[in-house]
Amino acid sequence: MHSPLSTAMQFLSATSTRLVVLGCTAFVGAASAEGHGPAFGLATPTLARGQWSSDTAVVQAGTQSDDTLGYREMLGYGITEDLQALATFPVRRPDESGSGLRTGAMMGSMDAIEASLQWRFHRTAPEIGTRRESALLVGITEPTDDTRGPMQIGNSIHLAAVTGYASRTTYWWAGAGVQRYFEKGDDRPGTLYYVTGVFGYRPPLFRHDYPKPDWRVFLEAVAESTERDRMNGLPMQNSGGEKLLVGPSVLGLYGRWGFEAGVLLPVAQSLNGTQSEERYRAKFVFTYWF
Amino acid sequence: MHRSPVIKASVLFKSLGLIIALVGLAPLAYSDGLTRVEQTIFGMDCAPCAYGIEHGLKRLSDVTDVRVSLNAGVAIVALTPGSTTTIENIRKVIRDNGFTPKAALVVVTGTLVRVDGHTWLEASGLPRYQLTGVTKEIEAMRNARPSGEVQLEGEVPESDSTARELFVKSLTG
Repeated sequence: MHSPLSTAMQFLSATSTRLVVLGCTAFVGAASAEGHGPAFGLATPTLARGQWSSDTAVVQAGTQSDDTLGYREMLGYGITEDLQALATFPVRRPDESGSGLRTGAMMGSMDAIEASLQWRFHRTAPEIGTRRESALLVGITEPTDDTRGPMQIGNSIHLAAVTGYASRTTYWWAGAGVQRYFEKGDDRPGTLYYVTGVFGYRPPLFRHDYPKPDWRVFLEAVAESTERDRMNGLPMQNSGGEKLLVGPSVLGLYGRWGFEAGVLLPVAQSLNGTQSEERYRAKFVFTYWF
Repeated sequence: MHRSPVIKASVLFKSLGLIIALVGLAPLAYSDGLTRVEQTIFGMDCAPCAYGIEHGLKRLSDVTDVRVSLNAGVAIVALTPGSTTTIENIRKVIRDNGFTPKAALVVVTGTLVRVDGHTWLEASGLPRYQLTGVTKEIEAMRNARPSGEVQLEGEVPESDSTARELFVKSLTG
């Protein structure tokens, strides 16, 4: 049994670690607004040097057995025009089940604080309204809870790469990432590998000039492969598997405000055990650029 | 005779104070003569992109109006006469937003001077733009009004190394 002192020390230790993750991000700056691009897939950064952004997201994911609702905030800061920092954290703790789900390639898991740096290492602008660019993303996560179900949760590292094209009529991005957890005790959630693809289109009706509202629609695809979770050093039977989800999203921008909504539906699932299959992921994001 | 460390420090601080005062009193920027800039931008595709550029340009000194067109890929900046904002300042805002500035159409005001066999537009007592283009008209104007103020409209190339060249398209007295 823990004494009040040791409990307080554990709380302070966990809190300080979380503050360090957040503080590091705040120190180096904060993020690329997810509102510029797709809701679920990877996209290249767009913040200006010294610009801040805020993305507030409501995410819901459903399986055959239950639904999980989460609220997340993501702060962004342009350290330079090509290097951006992101800090994303849950505003309200989600229900336990499904809480390890990444709520978007750049918005982290529902039950974790995530601090990332995104570096746009390649950029060309061949003509008016058009650019091609590529970026790398590296992030670290700190779980908000010590456990996810019966399993202990440690920190994780997230690496991703994305390349894409933007114009006044069409967009596309293709990216891939991996999130690997560190062991805590003898437990470790399975490593997540994913690939995302996004195609965007701005219909002629929405090609009005600035400062009129700017709308576009996306078709997004996310393919995930998750290794089995490990508890007490042993692989868990009902964990891991492969999924392919596809769905539409829409993005509306007006001045310093942005609104985005999207849904992903499973096209194919091959799970390793008898765990519930996923039914959908839905997301609403409000973005503000300072 | 050696001075004490206290005296040395005192002298050092006084010197630093004098330098700071001189820097503070010195004019920090000269007018570039710009009154209007139509800066072409490549790579700008979305409303937040335009918002970022508009926001950044409005923060430059002596800027009175900014209009950004996504479809034309251009930022139009109006400045007060005698503005200290330069074409380089405007292009830095574009670059800081992650986009690529190209050639710019500008309207500049100043006097015509001859330096090393070339005609320059002078503003704030300094040659600011080396003039090319309608050379006969420029020379005629310079001869007619050797110290009078003129207004030129022309194109500044995209390259920073040649950003002080102005291809004149029209000039008025």
